[in-house]
Amino acid sequence: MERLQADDLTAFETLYMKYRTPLYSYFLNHCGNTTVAEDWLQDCFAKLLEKRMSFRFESKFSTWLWMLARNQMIDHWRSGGHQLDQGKMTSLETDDVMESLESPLSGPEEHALAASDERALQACLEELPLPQKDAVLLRSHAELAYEDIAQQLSTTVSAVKSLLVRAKEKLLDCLKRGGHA
Amino acid sequence: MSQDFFKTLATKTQQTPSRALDQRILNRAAGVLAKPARPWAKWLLATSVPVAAALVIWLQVTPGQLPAAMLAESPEMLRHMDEIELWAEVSDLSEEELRYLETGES
Repeated sequence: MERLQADDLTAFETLYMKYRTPLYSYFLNHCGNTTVAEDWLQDCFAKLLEKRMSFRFESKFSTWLWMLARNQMIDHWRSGGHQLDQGKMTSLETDDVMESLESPLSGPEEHALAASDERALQACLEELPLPQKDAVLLRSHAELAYEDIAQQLSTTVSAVKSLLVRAKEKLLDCLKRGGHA
Repeated sequence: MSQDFFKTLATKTQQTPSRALDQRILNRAAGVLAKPARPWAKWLLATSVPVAAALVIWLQVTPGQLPAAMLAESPEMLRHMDEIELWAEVSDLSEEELRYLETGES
């Protein structure tokens, strides 16, 4: 990032190659439209260039980049008249949540996820309420820590864990039905 | 072997942007980063306003305050004020008048 702040193009190329796929996947899984996802990706990296001097190395670069990406997506939504409702986030017991989130997949779960095709998975993701879907995509594609997701969603870590547990349950349930509601 | 749910999900829903899009984004970045840097323009803008403001304040404040400060620091000056005033008046004389005063020759 220091090199990018010194206008080094190869530094930009390195960052672009590292984040292009997770960012594009995040955008595409949110909007479901390749043209829109491409526009968002383009705008996101334009924003990165525009704001590069404002990065102060006080946070991780990836956290800062995902914040840029998400804010820009919210701006697009708002300009399109959509509302981004974080919804009511309720907490579950922490121990249960951690067990559910971090335990390896059980046999049937693994089978359901492994056997699912991309279209079914996309359909199941579409069924999720927006805050759950956002948390899932930030966890899976951005690989953000719970604390960073909480910061992005302006909520608590326990609320993020609750969102992820509920999302995981819904997705597995949906996949068992073959991607049908 | 069991895998983490979210990693598996990411793998299965991962999509890669087209090469054409990559090229557009990289070309755009090259254009932005190749623009000639003008640090002096930013520096000029950032410094000219405060410097001008400070200059105005200094010009307005010092003529009133500097003699007072000098007088406060130099009571000697008060005792020789007549000479100073005389000197000020003398300094207004022409060269011929000065020569007359110093040598008595016109």
